[in-house]
Amino acid sequence: MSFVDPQVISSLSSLDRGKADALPHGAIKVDDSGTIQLYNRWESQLAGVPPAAAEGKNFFTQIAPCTNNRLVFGRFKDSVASGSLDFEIKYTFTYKMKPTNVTLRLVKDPSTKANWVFVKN
Amino acid sequence: MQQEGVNTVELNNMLRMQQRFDEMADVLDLDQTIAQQMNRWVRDQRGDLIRLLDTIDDPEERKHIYAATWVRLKSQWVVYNTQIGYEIAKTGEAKADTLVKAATVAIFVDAIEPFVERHEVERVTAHVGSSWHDAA
Repeated sequence: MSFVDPQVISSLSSLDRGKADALPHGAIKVDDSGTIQLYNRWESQLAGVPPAAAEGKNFFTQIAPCTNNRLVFGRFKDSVASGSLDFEIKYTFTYKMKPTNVTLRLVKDPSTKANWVFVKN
Repeated sequence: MQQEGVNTVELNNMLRMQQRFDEMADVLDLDQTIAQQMNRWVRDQRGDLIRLLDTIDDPEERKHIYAATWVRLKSQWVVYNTQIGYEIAKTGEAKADTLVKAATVAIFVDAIEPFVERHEVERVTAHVGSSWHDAA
């Protein structure tokens, strides 16, 4: 059972900033290269990075470098390339923050082709 | 107490590391043996850094050494971080000492980053890369 509400997954195309900020977990919208298009309030507070500072940067290499390996970023790229992005993985963030256990859910919105990274600790 | 050759800003950065380690140990709820081992490891790492900065007092040389140390520590963190990912993938959780080492090295990276100049990092990586090609 994923921590992301199935209703959120089924209505990704309408997930705008207001709705994303209301979620009880992180929500990051990225393009196929990982560049952040939307960085919600929960994630901003967890990472200590304001949305304006995160948006436009690469999530995997610049904002969450803990994910810059084949387990996460590599699998993201492979899944985007094959059009099958939808997986969940447990991880522990350690970079410039107290060690924080998280679960990541990465999923593509089939209608808009946007990719979403959801984060929960 | 300020050490000869280490300015106040640098020293403050070093001293904050112990406080941040204590917070980290609380978060991870380390058992006493692991906490003592890791505390010793952190103190040794911190001591090595202070001794390094204390020894190399030429400002220009220091710029290069800050960059080289940053590259070394960042590379160490990349290794530990990847190790954490695979430990979780294989057993469901990362080992406590790997987590402490990763987080501690990241604290060192954060502490010295203000003193690191990008072009010096590029010099270091070019230096390391060229050495590898020469060796081959």
